Amino acid sequence: MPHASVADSDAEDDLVVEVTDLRVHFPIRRGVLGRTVGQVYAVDGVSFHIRKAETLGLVGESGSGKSTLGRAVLRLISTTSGKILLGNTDITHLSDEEMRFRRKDIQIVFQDPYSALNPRLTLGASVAEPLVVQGLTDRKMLEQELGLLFNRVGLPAEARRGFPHQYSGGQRQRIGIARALALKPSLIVCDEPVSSLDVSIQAQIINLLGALQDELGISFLFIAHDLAVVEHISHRIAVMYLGKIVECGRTADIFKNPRHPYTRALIEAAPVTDPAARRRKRKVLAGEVPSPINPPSGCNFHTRCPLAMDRCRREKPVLREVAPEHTAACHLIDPAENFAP
Amino acid sequence: MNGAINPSFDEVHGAAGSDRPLLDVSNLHVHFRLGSRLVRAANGVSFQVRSGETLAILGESGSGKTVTMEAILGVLESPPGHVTNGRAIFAGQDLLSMPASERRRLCGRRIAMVFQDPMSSLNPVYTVGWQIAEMFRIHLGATRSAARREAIRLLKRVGIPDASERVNNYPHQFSGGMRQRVVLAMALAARPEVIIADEPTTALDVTVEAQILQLLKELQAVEGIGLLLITHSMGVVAEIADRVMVMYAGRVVETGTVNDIFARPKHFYTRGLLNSDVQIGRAGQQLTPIPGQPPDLARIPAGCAFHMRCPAASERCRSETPQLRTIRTRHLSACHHADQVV
Repeated sequence: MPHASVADSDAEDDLVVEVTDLRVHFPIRRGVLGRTVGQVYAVDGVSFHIRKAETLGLVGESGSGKSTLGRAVLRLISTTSGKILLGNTDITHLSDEEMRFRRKDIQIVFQDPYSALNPRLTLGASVAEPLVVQGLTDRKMLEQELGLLFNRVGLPAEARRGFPHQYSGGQRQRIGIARALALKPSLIVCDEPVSSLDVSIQAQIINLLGALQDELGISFLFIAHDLAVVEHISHRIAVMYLGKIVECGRTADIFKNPRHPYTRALIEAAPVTDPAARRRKRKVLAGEVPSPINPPSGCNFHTRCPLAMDRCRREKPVLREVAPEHTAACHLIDPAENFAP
Repeated sequence: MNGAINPSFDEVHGAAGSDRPLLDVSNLHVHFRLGSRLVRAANGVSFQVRSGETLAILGESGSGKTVTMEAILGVLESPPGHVTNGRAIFAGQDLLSMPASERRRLCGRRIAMVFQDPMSSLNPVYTVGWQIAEMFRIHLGATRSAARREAIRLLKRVGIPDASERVNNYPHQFSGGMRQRVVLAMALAARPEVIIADEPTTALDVTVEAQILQLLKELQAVEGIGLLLITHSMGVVAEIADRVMVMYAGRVVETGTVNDIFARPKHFYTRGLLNSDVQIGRAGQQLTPIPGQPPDLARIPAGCAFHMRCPAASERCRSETPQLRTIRTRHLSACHHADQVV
C-alpha cells in the first residue's frame, strides 16, 4: 500500500529517474535490401520522473507502448531520441560496458517468472548470478546474502537448492523479485508482475512489493494493464495510449477526477467486483487501439473518443498541467475550469 | 425434504420450478495418471445449467474448472486423463458414455465452445466467412450461398463493422477482440442451447473485455442460451453470472446466486478470494491474501483440502472431508464451519 508521506516530499534531488521526451521508433524493413518502409511509433515523446521510494504506475492497453518504455528505461532496447537520467547520470548513450556498472541500480521483474528463470539452475544460483557478475565471489558471503534475500521475499532459505519447476507461480515470482533485489537497486521496473498469478497469490505479491519499498526505499516503475492493481500500489499514475502519456497525476486525483476521456473510459471499463452494482447499460468504449504504425492524425485517441471535435482530428494535444502534479493531453481541457463532458 | 447432509440435486442446484436443466453433470471424477503420480483433478463435481442462465465456475489454476469442461466436451487429453466416474446428461443422453462420433455431432451443434485464445478455434488458412459458413453446411446442411449469407448476418450480429467485406478476411487480419467476436459468431451459428466459455475475455484488454462481456450477456438473454462460464476473474463473475460455483482442489466448495456469493459467502475460501481481490476505489485498504499455496493435486490433504490455508480450521477439518450442504435456499457450502464465515 503506498504511503503518502514518502511521495509527498517534493525535494527535487530525490529523483531516482528522470525521462525526457523519450522516443523509441522501430523501423519496418521490407524486401531483400531491407529498406525501411515505415516506423512503429512505440514510444513517442514520453517524459516522467520517479522519486525515491515512490511507485509510478504505468497503465495502458496492449500496444500502448508501456512495456517498450520500461525496457527503454533499462536500456534493454535502444532509444531513438530523448534523455534518461538515472540519479545524476545520463545513461541514454552509455556504452554496454559502461552500462554494466550502472545496471545494479536498475533492475526488472518480468510477468512470467518461469520464462525469466533458467530451468537448469537452482533458485539459489539464479539469484546469485547478478551478485557474482558484479564481483561478489566469496562463497560464504554469497550464501549469507542469499539467505537474507530468500527471507526477505518470504521463502525458506532451503528453497535455494530447489529448481523452478518445483515451485508455483507465486513462489517463482518471489524468486524473480529476490533476483531483482540482489544488487540493491534504486529502481525496479515491474512489468506486469502479478498479471499471470492467481487472485489469492496476486495479493501476496502486491503486499510483498509494498513492504520491500517501505523497508528498503526502492522506487518502482510498475507497468500493468489492471487499473485496480495499479491504483493499489502506485503513488502516481501515468496513463499511456499509443506511445504517449495522455494523463499523469497522483493516484487519488486520477481516480477521483480523471481529466482525459481515455482515462475515464479505462476506469469505466474495469470490472467491478460487486454484482449489486452491476451496470445495466454501462458506457463501453467502442473500437480498439489503432496501429502504432499509422497513428491517427491529431489526437491519437480521436478515433474512439466520444467527445472528439474537429480540432482533435487536426491538432495533437500537448500534456499540460490541469492541477498541481496533474497533467493531461486533451483539447477539451481548459486549465481554468473543470472539464465536464 | 431433509437434505442437510446429502441434498438432492434440485436442492443443490436450485431448481425452483419444473424447468429441466439443459446440462446436468453429476459426480464427475477426472484423474490423471502421470508416471507414479495420480493427480485427482476433479473429485465429484456436480452442477446443472438451465436455459437462459449463466453459471460461472470460479476457481484458481489447478481447481479443476477447465478439466471439468474438457471432460464434458470429450476433449480431455486421454491418456493421461481419465473420467473415472460421473455422468453428464444433455438432451436425455449421457455425454460421457456415448461414442465419440455421436458426441461430436451433438456437441458441435447443440453445445458450442469459446476458448480463451480465439486463434485456437480459428483455422489460419481459411477466411472467417468460410469457417462460419462451414457450421451451417455441416450441421444444418445449408447451401454455399445461403451459408455465406448467414455468415455475414452473424458477423453483423456480433458487432463486426463492414461484415460483408470482412467475411472474406483471414483470422490474422482481425485484432484479438474482433477474433473473439468471430469465434462467438461461429459458436452461435448452429443455434446452440448451451455455450461453454473458458476464460473468454482473459486475453483481451479491459475496454475490449467490457465489449465482449456485454455482447455475451446480450446474445445469451436474447437467444435464451444456457451459458457455462469458466473464469478466475471475480470481476467477470460479478458482471455477468446468475449463479456461481466455486471450485478448490477439484471439488465444488460453494454454490449460490451471484449476490449471495459476493455479499454473504459461506466458505472461508470464497471469503479469502474476496478479501484478496484488488478493487478500484479501495486503494486505502489493506489486502488480506490467502496464505500459502493451493495443494498438489497428487497429494490433496486429508479432510478439507483448504484446511492448511484456512483461518478457522479445526481438528474436524483435518480429518473429515466436508460435503456440500444447504445453508440457505439455493446456497450450499462444503465447510464444517460455514456459520462462522463473516
